[in-house]
Amino acid sequence: MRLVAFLIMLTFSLAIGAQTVAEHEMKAAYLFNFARFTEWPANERANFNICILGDEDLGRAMRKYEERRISDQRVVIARLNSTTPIRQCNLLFVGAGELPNLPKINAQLGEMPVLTVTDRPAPVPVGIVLSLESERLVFDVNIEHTQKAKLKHHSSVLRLARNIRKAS
Amino acid sequence: MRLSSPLLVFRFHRLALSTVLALLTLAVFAAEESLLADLPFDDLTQREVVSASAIARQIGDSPSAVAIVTAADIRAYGYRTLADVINGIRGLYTTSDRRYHYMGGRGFGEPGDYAGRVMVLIDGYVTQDPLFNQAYIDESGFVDLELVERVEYVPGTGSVIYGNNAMLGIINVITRKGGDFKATQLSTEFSSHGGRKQRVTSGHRFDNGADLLLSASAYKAHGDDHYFAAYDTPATNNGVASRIDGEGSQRLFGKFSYNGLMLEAGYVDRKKDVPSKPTKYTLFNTPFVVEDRNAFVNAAYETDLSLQLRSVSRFYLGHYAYENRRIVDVTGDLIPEPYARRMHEAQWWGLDQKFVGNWFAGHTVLLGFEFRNDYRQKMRKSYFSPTGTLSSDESDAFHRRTGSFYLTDEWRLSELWRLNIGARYDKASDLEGNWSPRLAAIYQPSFQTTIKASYSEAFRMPNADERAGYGSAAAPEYVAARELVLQHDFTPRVRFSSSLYEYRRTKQMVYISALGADVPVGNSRTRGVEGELDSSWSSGLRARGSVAFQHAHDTDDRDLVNSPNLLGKFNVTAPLPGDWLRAGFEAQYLGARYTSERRRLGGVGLAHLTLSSEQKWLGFSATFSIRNLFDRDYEVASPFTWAPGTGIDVLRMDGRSYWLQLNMDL
Repeated sequence: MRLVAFLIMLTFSLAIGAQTVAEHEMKAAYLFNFARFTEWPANERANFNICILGDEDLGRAMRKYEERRISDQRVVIARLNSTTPIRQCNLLFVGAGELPNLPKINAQLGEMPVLTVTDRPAPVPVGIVLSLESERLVFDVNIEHTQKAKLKHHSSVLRLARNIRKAS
Repeated sequence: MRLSSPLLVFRFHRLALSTVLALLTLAVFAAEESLLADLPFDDLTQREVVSASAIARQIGDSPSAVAIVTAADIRAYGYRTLADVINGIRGLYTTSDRRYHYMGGRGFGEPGDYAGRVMVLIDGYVTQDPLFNQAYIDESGFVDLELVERVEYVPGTGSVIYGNNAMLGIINVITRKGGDFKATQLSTEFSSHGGRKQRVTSGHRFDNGADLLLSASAYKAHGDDHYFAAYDTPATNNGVASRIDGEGSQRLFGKFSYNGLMLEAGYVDRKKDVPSKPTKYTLFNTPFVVEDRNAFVNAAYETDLSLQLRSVSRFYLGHYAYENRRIVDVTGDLIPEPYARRMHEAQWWGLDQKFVGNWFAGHTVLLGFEFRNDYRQKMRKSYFSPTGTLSSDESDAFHRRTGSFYLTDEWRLSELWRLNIGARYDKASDLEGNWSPRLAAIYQPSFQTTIKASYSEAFRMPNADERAGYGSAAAPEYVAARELVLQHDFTPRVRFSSSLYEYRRTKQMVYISALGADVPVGNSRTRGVEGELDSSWSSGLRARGSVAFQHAHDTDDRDLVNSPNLLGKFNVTAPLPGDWLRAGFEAQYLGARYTSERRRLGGVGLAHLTLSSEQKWLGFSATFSIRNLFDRDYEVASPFTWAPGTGIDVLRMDGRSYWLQLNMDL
């Protein structure tokens, strides 16, 4: 009896789970697409570094994209705990817990070609801000900021963005 | 309710079978999922997402089903000590002998076992003293619970990372940041049995990101008179231990963090009058005072050396001092004889260096080294004549240096499968080297479901007390554990966790009468199954319920003393209408268990109710708690064994008690 109940519960729950996607899995897929559909200035690096600062779940989900290639560079996922090596990142996601450090991060990066992404409204300009809107993941792009970093977004990124903040 | 062994075994097999079936079902479902990255970006933006689980998640990967108690739970359920927290956790319970609280669960928890086979860590610092391996979970513990961000209970062995003593589980206490307090908080408490407590906590986060937390507290209680039927004679005050139940403690705690650097220090001094005549040669109803002083410094620096290499360095210093004084009666004529004193002291320091490397795709490698120097372990027993002159003075001194290294790899075989392989090697100056391996397979068919199977071995070195008591016979003790875990989030708000485990302990100390000595030849086995449902709703309602069956044997293959077959927990908390107050209700069932004289103590259900302010009013907040709400009269197994048949194998616990805390933010 208990076994039956157990299996019924489990199957039922899986039926619910099958079509939905977890937020952090979707964020990881978005980050990968931002990376694919943005042009970085030419560089000598063999690796394309996607850095996740202060978000365990996203860091874990992102690891699936390790070893994929973005314009002939090998994707490396770096799960960071400090801001020390951020100048080596191509894309840097800053988790909620690290938001207070954003001013420092921006100062450290200056105009280096690093695409910064957060999932909360940030106190200082960042490249892309993700948010949830009626159960879909949406994003705003600050072109003013990314142009300073000499990054060029593919039209698909701009087309799918909810808001775009243009350079004045 | 009590399960006979064959029935439990049957349930075991049935659960194992159902888990395997569930696993297969999951595999079928999982195959249908395609990788999100292969979908066009346009399609991705059209898909619905489920927000991250509303239920607290563990920090880091673990091959067991971690239970988490958050700061919000601590407030909602009126927890005052780590022992209260532990009593609310699936499969765990504590036992008090009015001297200390001892932790039990999963086949450990023999009375008087000083919580010695479970590890309690505060922000990564191992808190047990090296003399008794005791983890201090009552008023003798390091931190006021208001300073705690969360408590994680990681069942299962932890020797693969922590080495010595992480045999049966790990309790991680993670403290809050100064920035969480924003200002200075004053707190005062009133509780039953004449309890008073004052606390001042000050926290600040500076603009440059530095964070500082400072806290001090003092607690005092008169205690109560207690009646003990075993001592009900006119010569011993008719069994009443009068005015010798007082307790007092002082605590200091400070933490500074900046840019990956953390400096932390803690101090606690607790004195307790013990009314329960805790040793054979103590005279009943005479003062017996124990004092435990613990202090530590913990400095850690965490940095990313490169994108693929993280480093965590830690330095720690520990100090422990124990003292007790009691009036003795060696002849048993109830006439006080010279009094006795114990003065023990330990000091140690250690260094731990970890590297976490992601050099190889699909692998996360952890490499660590630790050196620990227990350079001072002194145990002194003195006896005095009535005039106060020293009549006998014995002391033992030990030391131990331990060098260790550990290596683990989390290997992501595929989207669905991960392997966690590792081992730690410990070499102590007085013992042979020892390997503690762990192998775990983790299967994650979807983000809601995780199945983990693990095999691990752990060990415990003889501590100073055992080296003094057993002499050259003192030897390490071992455990091999197998565990199968299923975790599933039905929705982001409802999580199910279950665990099926078996622990085999070996080389336990056993008294062999033919040899007239204790010899490390004992083996024992514990099996159990646990299930928990945890839910958290946007209305602020949170509920958690768990059931744990366990069947623990001792080294003679009898049912283990003080190990209930059934443990049940139910917790629910919700804001009351108006949103000014929150109610927290907790019910705990402690199943039938044996005392050391093999008497069966019936199961007991306890309930606790807490009301706490949900919002601050002009900086004021309050908590009011009633423990043992229905005033249940109950007994627990005691560690006292010297007078069989007199009833000293049980101790009566407190009835209903009250606690009020008032806080003011300046």
